[in-house]
Amino acid sequence: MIQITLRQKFYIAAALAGLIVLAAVMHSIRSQIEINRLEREAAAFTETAKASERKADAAQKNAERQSERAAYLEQQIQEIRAIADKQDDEIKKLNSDTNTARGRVDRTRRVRSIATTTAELCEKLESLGHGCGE
Amino acid sequence: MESEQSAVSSKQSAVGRQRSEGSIVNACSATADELLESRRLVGALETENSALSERLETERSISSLLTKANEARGAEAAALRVALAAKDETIAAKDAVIENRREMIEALKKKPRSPLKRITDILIGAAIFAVIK
Repeated sequence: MIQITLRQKFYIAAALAGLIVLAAVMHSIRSQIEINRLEREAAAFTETAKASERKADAAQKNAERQSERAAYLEQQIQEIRAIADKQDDEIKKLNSDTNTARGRVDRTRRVRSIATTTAELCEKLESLGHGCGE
Repeated sequence: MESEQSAVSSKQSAVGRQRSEGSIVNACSATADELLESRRLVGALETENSALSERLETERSISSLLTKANEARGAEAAALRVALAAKDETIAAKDAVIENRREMIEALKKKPRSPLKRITDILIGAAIFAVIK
């Protein structure tokens, strides 16, 4: 049986206590490093989230600007379409006038002669810019 | 006798000439009318053509504006897609922050007491043990 003196017991106890303290210190340091790492990560993620939010806000503002521009252009298109409708009505009227004029030309083309005096003919030619006196 | 025949002949010739001149005048009159109406038709066609040209310009303006509006709508859609992607990124980053906080809570729960406090506890224990002995 090994005899251990009180002093030796004290040393063993002190050594054990030292080991326990060392282990605790190591564990604490490791734990603190882990917490610091997580804090750094959290800061990075927060910064990423803020940057993404800023990007989203800028894109949304750009989308709003484009939407306003498109609305303005569509408004202009509506106004020009109203003008185009009026022009279409005018063209219909002009087309009708043209058809009437074409009909008159066809009718006059079918007439071979018109009983006219020389004076009346001269008057007609005058109105056409080819007077008999010229 | 001959002179009588000559007179009749010249009279017939004059009548024929008169008739011929009359028919020429009548034909010219009809032609003049046709020319007048043709000129009117040309005028009407020119007016119609001018109106059609204006209408074409209007349609070109509409087409140009439609192209611009289409581009603006396209840019709006692209910007919205970018905004949506950025929002997704934000959500992902915030999810990561939440997960990180959860990990930190766990780490803080597992974190041992301060070594100084532990030393103090050990010393107190040793002192109590020494007193009892």
